[in-house]
Amino acid sequence: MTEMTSEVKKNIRTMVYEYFSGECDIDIKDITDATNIIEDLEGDSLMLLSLLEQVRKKYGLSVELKTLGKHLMKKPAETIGQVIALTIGIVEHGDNIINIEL
Amino acid sequence: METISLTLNCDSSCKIVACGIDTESISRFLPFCRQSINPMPMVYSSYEYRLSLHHKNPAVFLCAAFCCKEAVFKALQKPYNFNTCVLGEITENKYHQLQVSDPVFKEANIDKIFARLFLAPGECSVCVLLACKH
Repeated sequence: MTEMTSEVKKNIRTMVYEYFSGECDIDIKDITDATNIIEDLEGDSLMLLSLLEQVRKKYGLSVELKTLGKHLMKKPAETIGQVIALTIGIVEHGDNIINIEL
Repeated sequence: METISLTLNCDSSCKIVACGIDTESISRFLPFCRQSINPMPMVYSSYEYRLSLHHKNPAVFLCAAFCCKEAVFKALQKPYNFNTCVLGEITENKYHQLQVSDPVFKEANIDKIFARLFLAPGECSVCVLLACKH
């Protein structure tokens, strides 16, 4: 797990914005925290999984997909802002995210 | 898609509990083939990754395996570790039996999972049947 500093949060935010901008071929200026990943960007589960794999590699995490799935059933990540919050939660808490109320 | 039947095509000792489908474009998996390590360890087991390397078109294998896992998730409606639901070698057989090891399948009384792959130029579709013994 990684200590959650404002610098790490900023890096995660940038990573998520750049990822969806590249994957969805959309100008990063047209993305906001309120952008809906499915409705506005035509994103899907493969996109989210691919992003989470990149996060896992970058921060050396060993989080399980089942844990993430359980968390997402409680708290869906439908917008860019929600994906950023999810990613920060994973980096900060790892598999323990399931016990954390984000 | 053609009609599928568990009793006629797969295993008459089982009954269908649930089914799920998924379709993906094969081109989306091409970037994963350029990596020299398992591109998605949360999704693919190391065995599947090795199989993909030996497949004539690794992107097709990775796409088919991903569709299987997604289709199983839709049928099961419960989160599970995708890398514990394994597509073996793709053969000429109509049905492939997926190997699963996540306890969630036992808890849901799922004994066998069959996958029917539909490979078309540029895309792969999968229909899975989750079955339990009579």
